Amino acid sequence: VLEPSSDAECLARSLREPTAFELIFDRHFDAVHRYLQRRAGLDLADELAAETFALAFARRASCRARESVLPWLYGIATNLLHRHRRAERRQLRAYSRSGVDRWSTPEDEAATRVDGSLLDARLAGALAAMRPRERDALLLYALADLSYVEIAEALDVPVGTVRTWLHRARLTAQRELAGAEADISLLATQELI
Amino acid sequence: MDELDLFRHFRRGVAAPSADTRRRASGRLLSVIEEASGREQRDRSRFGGRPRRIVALAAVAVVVVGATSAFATVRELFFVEAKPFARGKLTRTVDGVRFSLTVPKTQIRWENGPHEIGGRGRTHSLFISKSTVGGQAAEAVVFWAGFEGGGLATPCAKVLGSAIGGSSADLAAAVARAPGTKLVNGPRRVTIGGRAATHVVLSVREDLGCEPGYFFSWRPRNVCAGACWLSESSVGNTIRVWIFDVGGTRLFIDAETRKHHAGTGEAVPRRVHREVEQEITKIIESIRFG
Repeated sequence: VLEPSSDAECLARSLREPTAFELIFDRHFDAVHRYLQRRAGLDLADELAAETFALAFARRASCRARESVLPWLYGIATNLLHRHRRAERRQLRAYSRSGVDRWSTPEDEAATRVDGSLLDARLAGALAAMRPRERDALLLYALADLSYVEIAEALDVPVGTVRTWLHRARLTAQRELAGAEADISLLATQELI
Repeated sequence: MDELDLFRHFRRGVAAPSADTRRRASGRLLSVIEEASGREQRDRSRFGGRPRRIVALAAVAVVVVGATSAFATVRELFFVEAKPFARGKLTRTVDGVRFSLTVPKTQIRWENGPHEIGGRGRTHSLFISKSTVGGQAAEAVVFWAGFEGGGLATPCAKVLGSAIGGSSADLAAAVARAPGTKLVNGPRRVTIGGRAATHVVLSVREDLGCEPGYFFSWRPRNVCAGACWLSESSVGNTIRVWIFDVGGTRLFIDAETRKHHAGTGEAVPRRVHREVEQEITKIIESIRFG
């Protein structure tokens, strides 16, 4: 049996042969889990990533993706995160104040936990200051690497709305990160190296 | 560097999911797939292999609740895929309560949600919904809630607590006092499908963190149970509840409409909102038991 080449084909086949959906899981579980872990920590990521795929399977008939279903999966994961948005915000604030990320684990790269912690804490403060949907749009852009169109697809909103949210997110980031130029310069230098 | 691009570095060093995490998630998905595959085969044998029509839009949720004890026990439940669209006459049995309802044919269609299957293959919940603005947020919702084995229909367990008596009247009175809401109508006695029910209408006035929905029931570990809802009960939503006592089992019906999209704030056009409310009324009035 030929393996479906695109996600859309795979999804279409899964409507006839439900087991075809396993390929979607194999392709995208790590990416969805990583996104969730960066937003909500390991424990919740484990739970919500599994839930994302179970829910995606149940709703696969309504997926309108023409190629990759990853934006759609990110959208489901993001909506599931909404139940925990208060916890996320609390954690971001605490991280911002203390500089200690309680959600990092021993398995995470030590370099990020140490070198990146100062800037990370500033970013956490900026994220905490944003409205939930602005934060969602920003993190789908920055963590999930989605385009504006894909974010719109993921959140099921017009592209113009995504532009507005990201514009507001940018303004909030500018305001909240003012004074963090030194950290940002350091990061920029590291990037060049 | 653009401010937004800075966030690409946020927690960038997180570890990849462990093999155990992957295995557990895969196992859960497989159980859902196997359940769906089994049902597909049964459907095919029943309908002679006729292909199902696939379209896209909404969902209904049903959960059944027992009548006696305080809280539903945590148990393993499985999501089961439903046919995508709810249209015409549907017959359902939820924790032993058999009933039918008729979903009107409308331009924006009502969609079946996944329903919950527990031990011994009993259906504990199901929901239907439609999205008038946007998609996953499902602005207009109808769901049925109940809890097997003597659990409590808990309108947001965080705020109502457990001290509610076992009768439908007790539950209706508790719903009518739900914190964060304003009582718009009831509790009053109505008759639907030849059975007496108690009807309450509420408006959500304060966000008390009842997520994902105000009348979200219980949530066993790792399972999206009860009314597994992606959306929230936002301030301004209208919640209409009907509570039946059917042979000692409380059947809890919750229809929720919103005037704004939960995520974007986009307004649901007034005409559309009114039409959705009329459709809900028709659905509820079409319920027949047995």
